[in-house]
Amino acid sequence: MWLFNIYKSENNFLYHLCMKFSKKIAVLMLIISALVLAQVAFSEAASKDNVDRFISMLSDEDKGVRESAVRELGNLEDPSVLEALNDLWNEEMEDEVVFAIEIAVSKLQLLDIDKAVRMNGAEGLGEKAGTRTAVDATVGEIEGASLFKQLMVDDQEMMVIITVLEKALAIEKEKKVKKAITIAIQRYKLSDRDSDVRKKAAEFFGELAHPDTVMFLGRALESEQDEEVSAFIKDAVSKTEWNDQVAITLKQLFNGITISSQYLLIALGLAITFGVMGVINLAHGEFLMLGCYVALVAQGIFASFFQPVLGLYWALAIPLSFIFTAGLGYALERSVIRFLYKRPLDTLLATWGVSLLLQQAIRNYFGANNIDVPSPSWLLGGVEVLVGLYLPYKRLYIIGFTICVVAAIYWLFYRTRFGLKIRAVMQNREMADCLGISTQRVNAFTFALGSGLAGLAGCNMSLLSSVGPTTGQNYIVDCFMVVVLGGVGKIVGTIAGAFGLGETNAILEFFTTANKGKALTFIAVIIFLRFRPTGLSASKGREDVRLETH
Amino acid sequence: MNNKKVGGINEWIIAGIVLSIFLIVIPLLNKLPGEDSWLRISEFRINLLGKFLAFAILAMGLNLAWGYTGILSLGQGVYFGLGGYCMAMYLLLKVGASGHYGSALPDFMVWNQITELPWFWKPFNYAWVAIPCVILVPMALAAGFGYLLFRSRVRGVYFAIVSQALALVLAITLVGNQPYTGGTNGLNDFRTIFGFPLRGPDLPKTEFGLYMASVIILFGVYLICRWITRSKLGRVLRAIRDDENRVRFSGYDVANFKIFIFAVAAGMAGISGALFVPQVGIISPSNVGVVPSIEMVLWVAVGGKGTLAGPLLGALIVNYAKTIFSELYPGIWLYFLGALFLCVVVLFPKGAIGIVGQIKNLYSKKPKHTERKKTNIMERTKTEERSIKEG
Repeated sequence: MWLFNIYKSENNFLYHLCMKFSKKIAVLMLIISALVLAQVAFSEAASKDNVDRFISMLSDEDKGVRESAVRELGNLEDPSVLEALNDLWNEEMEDEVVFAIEIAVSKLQLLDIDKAVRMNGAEGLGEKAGTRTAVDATVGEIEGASLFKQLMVDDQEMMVIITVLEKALAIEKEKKVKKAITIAIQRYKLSDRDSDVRKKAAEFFGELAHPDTVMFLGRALESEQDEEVSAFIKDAVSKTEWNDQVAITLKQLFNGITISSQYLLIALGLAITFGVMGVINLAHGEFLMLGCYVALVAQGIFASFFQPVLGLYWALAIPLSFIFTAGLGYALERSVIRFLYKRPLDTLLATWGVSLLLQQAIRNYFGANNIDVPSPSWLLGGVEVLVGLYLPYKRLYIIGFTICVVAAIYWLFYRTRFGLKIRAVMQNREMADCLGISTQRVNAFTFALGSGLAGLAGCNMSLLSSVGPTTGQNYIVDCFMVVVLGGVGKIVGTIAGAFGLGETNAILEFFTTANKGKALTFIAVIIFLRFRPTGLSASKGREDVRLETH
Repeated sequence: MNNKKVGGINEWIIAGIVLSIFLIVIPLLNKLPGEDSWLRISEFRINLLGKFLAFAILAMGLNLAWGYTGILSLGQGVYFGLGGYCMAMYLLLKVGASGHYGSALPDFMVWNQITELPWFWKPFNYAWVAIPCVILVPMALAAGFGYLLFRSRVRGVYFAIVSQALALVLAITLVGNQPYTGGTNGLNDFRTIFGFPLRGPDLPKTEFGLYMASVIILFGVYLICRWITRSKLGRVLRAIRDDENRVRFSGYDVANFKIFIFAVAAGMAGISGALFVPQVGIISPSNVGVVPSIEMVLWVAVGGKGTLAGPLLGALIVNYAKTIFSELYPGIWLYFLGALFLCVVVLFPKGAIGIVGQIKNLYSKKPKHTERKKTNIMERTKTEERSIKEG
């Protein structure tokens, strides 16, 4: 349209000319457009040629040639060269070329369809900005630090990278990736030649205060010459470090809660059986371990028969682990434990024997090595609630699951007839028996319930760590301590015990090491028992009867 | 099995026969000519037997606590380990500068870049400190632990679990402080004990000496146990086992008795550990943790708890079975161990010593002990009813 407008209004002569030779012009335009098309086709062919040429250059003996080829490939915006670059990446020995490859790959990753890959690309490019400041610092001190010099993103390359990043930012829709790209750009800007640009970047990082950037900011601070900019960076560092501390502390507490809820799920079963029958089941840990293996088997079944809906295996694993371990617990109670009610210490030993048998059976069947159970895909990933505080879905799920189970147990204990019977037996076995409650049945079902809870906990455990024949043993002593700490007879006690132990452990671990933390926690519990021998939820009166030996 | 019946001269004869077998017959069999004669007991077997006798000392102590007083400790490995580590520290310091690195420090400290001997190692340079420590350190810990728990009347299953946690605490502490304790590898590579070599061609002679020492100490421990259980103290202990509250109401301070006997058991475990170390040549956290501690309880259970000779028998049976099974069918040992726990507890609660009595009971007329008790109660209630009616 504008073409005709111009001709009409501003250039009458041309307009007439056009009208006169309209047919010829049409032909001419056809020719021109054909030429243009040919040109495009030709240039595309040329770039294809280029790709091939650069790829062939990748196998050149001279590392300079390889490096420049990699750079060119990186700028071509053609994802198909990724494969060739990756191949070279695996074989390449020269640091400079590897460096170039990493940049090129990250650039290409920015163009990917998958947001996770784009994220990787942005982060990868951001990392390289880190080398730039590090280089500045070293070059200043050591004369002719040639290796570092070569391993740095030079000014020209930096401009290219920033343009690439900005382009990617313009078309990016995912919030997270956008943020990653922005951070990457700012990282480069922090090593800009212009001090004003650096100052702005420092301000940006001060506002961001993301714990992941602490190291990078530290390095930038070291190499910074300009005092004004350094002040800004210092400010950013202190803000970031504060955030880092907060995030670490909260994360530790959160992990403590996760572990506590695992403890709770395991110890609940123990506490119930102990409360009702006065026996401690040393094979409880092995039920937990069996729960893990049930999850493994369920995953295996889905992987071989229902591959398309693999993530749903969890829906099979949860009920199956409960039913399987509860059934086993029922069988154990009927076959061994019911003969030993008068001898609780002997029960301890007999169940230990059972635990050895189960462990060895698993070792024979599945092997002695630890196995990873692939978690269902919908539980992967997490949510970032605060800067730097990343909560994995798995752990959130475990906490939520535990809350549901505890609620269910509460309902069972205080709202159903069966729960009433359990509580009656717990309070006074003989009297309950006299009133027509079948204490034998209550025993068996309680034991099955406790074992089933261990199985559920095991199923969840497979999300957190790999599974082995001794998985149960690693947790069981802790859970006994939860029962001891919590006291018997009330669910609240077990909850308090689990969180008391889990959080104490997490806090002490934070200040010392994992080993020392655990040792100190146990010693603290032992000393605590001096003052509250019946645990946190001391119910008065009949407690002594239940703690009787024989 | 029944001490009262066997008592008097008979018991001394049996003890004398057993002692002379260990002290005379076995050494003589060792001296028999012919390397592969079936009668001859090799040096290796004697060393093994010496180790088992060391275990039996621990089992006797544990039996005092569990069999006679009803205190089940699932953490006896703690006291065994403390005794063993005390001995091992002394032996390692005696290696002196003849170690791999030519340093006065133990080799593992050199790896861990420790330059000065830690303070708690220093006293163990002297035998006159180390030997009493073998007994006193475990006793002190047991007394402290017992004070915390028995005073606040933690008992039964509760106590068992907490004592198990203590075993875990010791094991992870030992593993976690590698520069001072040798970590997972433990303490090993000893050279001499009281001037006798612990390596080289003369090792069998030293081992024989250690074996003889184990037999004699075991006999001494047996005498102590016998004396304790026969005394008035022993009666109080059994009464505590059978009904703690009644003893308390009778005016005894139950906690003190328990602390005392638990400390004695710990001291015996310490001796056992100290004898174990030179005979085996290593002590590590895997000897003191949760699992070995429970195995120790099994020795007593298999032999027969609450009997004097039971622990000795149990320690020998279980450990020989373990050796044989691990040599012949390594995979089956744990199945066997598990089954042993189950069978002993469910079928033979009185252990190996009680089996004879159990079989006798099967074939003789069953004593109506339980029934009589029931009728007694019935009669009592009837008389009570009558008295109520009359009153």
